[in-house]
Amino acid sequence: MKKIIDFFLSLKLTVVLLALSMVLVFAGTLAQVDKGIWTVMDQYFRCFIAIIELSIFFPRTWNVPNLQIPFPGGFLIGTLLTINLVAVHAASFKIQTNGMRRIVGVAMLLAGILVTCGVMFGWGTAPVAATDSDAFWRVFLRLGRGTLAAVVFYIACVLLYRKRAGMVLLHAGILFLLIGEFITALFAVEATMTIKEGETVNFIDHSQRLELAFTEKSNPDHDTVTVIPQRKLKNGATIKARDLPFDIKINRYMVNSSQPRPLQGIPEALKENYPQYEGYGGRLYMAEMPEVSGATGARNAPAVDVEFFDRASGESLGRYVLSLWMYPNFVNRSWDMPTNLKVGGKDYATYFRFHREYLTSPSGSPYSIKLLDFVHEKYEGTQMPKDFASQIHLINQGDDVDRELRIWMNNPLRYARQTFYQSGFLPDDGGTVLQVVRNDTWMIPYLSCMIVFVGMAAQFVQSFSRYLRRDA
Amino acid sequence: MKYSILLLIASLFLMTSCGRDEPVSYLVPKEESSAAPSMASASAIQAAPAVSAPKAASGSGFTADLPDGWTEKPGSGMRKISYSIEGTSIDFYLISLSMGDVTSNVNRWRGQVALGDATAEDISKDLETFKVAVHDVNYIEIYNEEGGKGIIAAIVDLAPQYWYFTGKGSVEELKAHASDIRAFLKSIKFDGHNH
Repeated sequence: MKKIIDFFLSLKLTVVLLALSMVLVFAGTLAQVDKGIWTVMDQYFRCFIAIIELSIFFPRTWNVPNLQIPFPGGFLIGTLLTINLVAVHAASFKIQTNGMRRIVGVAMLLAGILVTCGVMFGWGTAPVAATDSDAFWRVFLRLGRGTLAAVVFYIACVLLYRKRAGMVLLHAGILFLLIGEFITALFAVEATMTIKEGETVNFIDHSQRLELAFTEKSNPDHDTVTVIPQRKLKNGATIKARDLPFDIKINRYMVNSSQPRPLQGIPEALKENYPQYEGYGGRLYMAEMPEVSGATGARNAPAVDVEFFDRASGESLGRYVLSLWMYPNFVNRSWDMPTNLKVGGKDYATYFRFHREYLTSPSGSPYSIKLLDFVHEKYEGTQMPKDFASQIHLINQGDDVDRELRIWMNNPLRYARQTFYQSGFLPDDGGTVLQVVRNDTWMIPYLSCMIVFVGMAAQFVQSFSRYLRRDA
Repeated sequence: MKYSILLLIASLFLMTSCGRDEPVSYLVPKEESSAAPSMASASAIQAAPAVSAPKAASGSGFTADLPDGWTEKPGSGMRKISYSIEGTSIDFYLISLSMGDVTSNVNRWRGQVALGDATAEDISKDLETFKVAVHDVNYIEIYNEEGGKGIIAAIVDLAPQYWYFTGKGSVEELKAHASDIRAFLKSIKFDGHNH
């Protein structure tokens, strides 16, 4: 056990891990020449073991063998760095006081944790916060709140660690930043909300997760939705969902697909291997495409080639291609292309779509947003956007919230642990696209920056005054 | 300290191994009517995968055969009527103006796709003219191959008014649908005036 502890206490470990992280970042950056940014994030950074392909280090025209090298992933390096930092912290910075001073120090430490939680979770702030103040002052206020927590921690550190207070605080700030980023990577949600003028929407589309969704609408009071998560959509898999009267065979999962084009305009050579699809795929060409490069900013439109089988008879119900291109919110409502299946006397509207999350407040009450008006101002005589703004109506009957609010550039709405930013708009200014972010730890960078700043400032002042005393 | 390190490692692994992968079903309130232009119904798709019977478009003062995959949208602002074309981002619409000079309009469209002005003589080479009922139609396809943008436009002479049918989109999409646009224009029938 001592060896393990010594290993984690080693400065060599820190240096090696930092060097490995540099290599990983370098490889991850090069990999974006061929792959999308989110694929790279998953393959290199948000995993314990990354698989680095040798070919990314060479020009693509060279015939480099497709050698795959296992390498410590972002989570593994981050975890080891965190443990290293905690271990060094615990071993190097011993509490240097006893008695009442120690008790008061621990009490201040707890007070600091309490203040930090308050700042992080916005205790005492309005539950519905549509910001209308200047962005600079908002950021300034956040840093001010972070400073308050940092000062409380500093007092605790002075009481517990005496002259080493600044150094302890500085390290704690870095550790807090690392943990915050880890939690963000695991739990933060990025989504979009697309609303046409006059429309009320009660769900968000998770941008990085997909699902195969079947909506059955025969009940006059509600719709029944069955969703198959993206991770189940593997080549060759057969999926049996309890609430569906048919089985789904995944012929192929495509990481990207071409925009639908009329089949009659497609060259014969391309059509040769194009499967005989039912539905839209029978008259529109939607084929597999290479993944777009993360460096271009273009989006992938994944698709699935599926075949449905009647569960009772085992008969094929047809082979279909279901692409994200067919989902209206992917194409800014330019079109809507549901694949309709009729099985067992029931109709199922089918989409391969972004994972949908229905909006609920922390109390569990559902809420919705109606777009009253969308304003898109342009610089005179040009098409350059000057300002976007969404006038919305936030309705949560369960929590007695019924408010008209404005969301515009740099002035988001914060409600129910979500932040709604003005992000885009629909063709002809017919509606709005809001970016929705849920990140309960979004204040951690502000807090940790100020903790590090206060720690460094204290350490500097202490060293400087010691230097002055020595010279005096 | 050894226990705290082990606990930290275990909790980090547990945090990263969460995730639900099974199919789920849930009930949701009825959605509002679809906000996007709806494409052909499933029965139409399955019954007629390649060609379906033309549908009459009831626009502002005219009717025309809607090509397969086209959906009519109500006008807004200056637009009398708009159309969406299935599987494309082509924006096709009609506006009515009281001026009908072909050269200046073609050069205006060329500017919109980042092409320089052309002379009246050059424009006339690209221009196709035909009649709809008794009305002259000047039809042109403008493509900027490098920029990837294009415009297909037709000016219908209904003097003293001129109708402008304009389709904007990518060169690839416009070329694929040019024949449909032309067929649509040639099928126009005006509602009981001056012809």
